[in-house]
Amino acid sequence: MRTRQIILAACCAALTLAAAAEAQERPPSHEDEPSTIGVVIGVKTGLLVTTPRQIFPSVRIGDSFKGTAPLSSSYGTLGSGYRYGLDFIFPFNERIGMAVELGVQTAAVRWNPVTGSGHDDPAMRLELQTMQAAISFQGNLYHNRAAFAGAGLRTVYLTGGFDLGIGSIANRVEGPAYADSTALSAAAVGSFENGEPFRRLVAFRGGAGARLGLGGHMELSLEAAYALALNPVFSSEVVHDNSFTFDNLALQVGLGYRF
Amino acid sequence: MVKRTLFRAIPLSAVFLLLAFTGCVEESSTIVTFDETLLSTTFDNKLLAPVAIYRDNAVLDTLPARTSRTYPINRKGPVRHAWMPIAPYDQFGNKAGVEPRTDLGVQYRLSASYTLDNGSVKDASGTSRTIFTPLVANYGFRDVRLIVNYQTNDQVITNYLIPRDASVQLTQAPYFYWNSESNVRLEEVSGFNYYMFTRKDTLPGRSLELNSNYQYEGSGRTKALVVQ
Repeated sequence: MRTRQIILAACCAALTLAAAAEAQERPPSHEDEPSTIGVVIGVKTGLLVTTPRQIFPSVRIGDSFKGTAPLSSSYGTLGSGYRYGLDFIFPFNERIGMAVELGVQTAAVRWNPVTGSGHDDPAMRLELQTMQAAISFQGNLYHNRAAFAGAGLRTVYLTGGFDLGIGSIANRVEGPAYADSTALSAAAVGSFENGEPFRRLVAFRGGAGARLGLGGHMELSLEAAYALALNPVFSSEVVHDNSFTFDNLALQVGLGYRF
Repeated sequence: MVKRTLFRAIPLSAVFLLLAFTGCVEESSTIVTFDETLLSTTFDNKLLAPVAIYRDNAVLDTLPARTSRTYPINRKGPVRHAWMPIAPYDQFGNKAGVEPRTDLGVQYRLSASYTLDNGSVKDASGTSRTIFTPLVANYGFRDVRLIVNYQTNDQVITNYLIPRDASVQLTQAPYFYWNSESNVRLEEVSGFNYYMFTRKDTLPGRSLELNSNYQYEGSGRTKALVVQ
């Protein structure tokens, strides 16, 4: 799993350097300007802010005497994460286009400690790392042809589509464990041993962004997108009647090469 | 110009590589399970040999060839299963064939179902392997003994005899690893003749091929290797 992640990151890094080298090798000339509807290939990275939705199921960490008890989303608090990967944009014309993003997402979902019985249980935290594929359509609100010849704001766009979880890489759960029926809880850490409990998460993703020319073919992109999960994190075959899921807001920056 | 471009690209590349090396979620060896009562596990044995079923490292049952059974669990917490084909004994009491033990990991499904076939095997190193069993029909005049994967890394020399006018038993067949160089060598016990079947042989009736007939799907049985 880690090897796949490193290969993807190395590809991203190599692509960034190759695009940069390409840009510097040829001095910009009128004939060498990028097309206003040219395909863009780039890399993208950014931070996530996550929020849990619905009830997190009771889990047992290790040899815990009992489960953590179902946890309402009212205990939920903002979590964090990040994602990075390759970014492809295929403009149909100067107004609309399609974007595809392939990458790795790490999301940490957090809950506040449950109070009661004279003590606080350790806070729950779920960390999930997944391979993601996002497919979306982009509509340009602003399109500045002149900026394609050099530096400056080229497009401002709205985007909407789907963010698909295509594979689980790693997971980690932090929360309370109980030695026996009378003992107080102690903080424990564990992991689901395999990807069996997890569904392939599907989220509707909508947002807005801008692309800035850096001179010639190189472009910088800035994007904010909200992903609204459409299905539960855990399969109904592993836990009864549970629809726990989480949404996220991604703030991303990218560097691309426009042909 | 060159410097400016590199100054732009190198930090971003470095960020990607840094994320890959340091950003991996650190998994714990402590197992997390749901606080749910697991109901049952069903095993469907597609092999032509019995298999040992393990639950939490203890033998749960021996499942005969081509049989399916469901075992109740009715408890919470981690439950781990494994399985292993049981090889027959040869004439000197040694195991004839391989017995790879495949760990199925922790069961998370409330009612899980596993198909045990010739393609769902893992060897000692945890590598996925395919196993097969040669279907030998001995119409010759002498008994023959079975040697599989002769002069390859997966070579198994047995004293498993296939008597004349008999075939390999289809309820306790010996299994071997299937690789690109797989072959079957049948040596006459009281003679000097031997019969070689390889995957690359183009002569009709001499080629070693898995039987894709749906009736024996997943069994890993080869097409008949006829000695006459």
